[in-house]
Amino acid sequence: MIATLHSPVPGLIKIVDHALTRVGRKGALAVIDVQGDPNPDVFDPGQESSSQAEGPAEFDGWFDNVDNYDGVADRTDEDEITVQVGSQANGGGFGFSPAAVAVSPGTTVTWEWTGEGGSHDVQADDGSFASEMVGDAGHTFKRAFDDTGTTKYYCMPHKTMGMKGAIVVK
Amino acid sequence: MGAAGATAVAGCVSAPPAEEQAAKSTPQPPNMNESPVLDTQRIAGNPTAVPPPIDRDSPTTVSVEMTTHEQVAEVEPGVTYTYMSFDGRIPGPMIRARVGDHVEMTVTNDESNSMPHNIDLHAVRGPGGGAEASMVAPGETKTFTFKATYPGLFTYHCAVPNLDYHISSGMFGAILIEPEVGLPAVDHEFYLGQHELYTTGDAGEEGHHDFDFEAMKDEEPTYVLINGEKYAIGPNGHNEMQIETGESARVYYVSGGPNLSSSLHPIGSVWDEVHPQGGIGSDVHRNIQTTPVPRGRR
Repeated sequence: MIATLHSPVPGLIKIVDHALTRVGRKGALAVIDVQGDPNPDVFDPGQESSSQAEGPAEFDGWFDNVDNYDGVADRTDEDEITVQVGSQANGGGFGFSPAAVAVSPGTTVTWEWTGEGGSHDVQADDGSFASEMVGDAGHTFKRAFDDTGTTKYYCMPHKTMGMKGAIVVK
Repeated sequence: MGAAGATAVAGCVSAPPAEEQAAKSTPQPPNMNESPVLDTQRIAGNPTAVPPPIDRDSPTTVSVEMTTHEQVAEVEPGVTYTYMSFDGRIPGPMIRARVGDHVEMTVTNDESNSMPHNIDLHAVRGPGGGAEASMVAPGETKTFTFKATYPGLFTYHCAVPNLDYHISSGMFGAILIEPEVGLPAVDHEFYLGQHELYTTGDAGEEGHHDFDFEAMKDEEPTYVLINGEKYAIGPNGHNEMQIETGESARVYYVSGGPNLSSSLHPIGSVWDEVHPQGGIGSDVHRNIQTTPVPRGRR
């Protein structure tokens, strides 16, 4: 087919198959990045841009809307650590605790569900792992982290509310 | 950043006691679920709930307020599901404005909800159709404003990361942007919305159906519904579309999907006029037996 478009406002235009499961779960997406000055007559988001960075630069703004981010917890002297899933944060049981944690290579991380905030999962931002989505206290999900580097992760249903975390292996 | 830093070794390890506990909220067949109390007796939108035609000659600002809900209702007698919706109806309320108008869109996420919600309107020129500007956690309210710059009937839907789950659960509707000259007068206007529901059960299986992500990935729905309930609108349900012989009726039909398109045919009749894909501005198609309604369009 042949079709044209233009945009009077800046931002991303996402080209998708609106059979949306094919987009979010099967990869059907291309993006046009429209650059330019804001045009509030046509589109006014109604609030100041939320891209004001608050977290440390090394996380690229990952923790900007995470209200329980409190620096990187140092657990580099432990072989196995536990991260709570559904801790009180971000307006309910919508946090990982600690949100950011530093471990040594070879450490096993156990995510343990608190049972708060409904169903959660644990998904790596780079797609390297994903847990089941469950909501019950005591459920666990384990990963061993062998190589140095930072892995960001999130809860799919509550990512936009700030339910995000990171494992820093050093 | 160190994207390659994490290496899969242990995988998912869960002890049997945890699995037993998890059975309470992990998706499971209807016969394993307790029957919940209905939050609403009716989730099906009334097809006559269409805002009146616009008779203004100049632009104005149209204010629209919607509240998102997560409610248990019946798909058919004995079959329940936890729907998500705009204002507790499927499809969500029809919005009507005119080219040149500004639409001030306010979305409130009911504080009893457990998930974030927002709205992406296909009538918006702007990032995500307003999705980022309207992202609300339970108990939150946000407002954004856009200018209607082109006429037609357009889909709106929730667009959070699990958007296909939210749309499948009922979060979609339509916005009509009338051209400056308006639309030809008709005797009746009706508003209908199609979508498909993916559950852990079979159609008609009594009990409470959970959402089934695997069935959705396979695009194998349990139900394909018009106005959110099986056979909701008609003599055996809510008989709200009634006209006299000789009268004209315009149908606004939105296909929420999230995945299936519709081949819309009036059995025993024909569409006198069709605006292809809901766009207004081209010539209408006449005497059409079956018209495609792609998901995410009208």
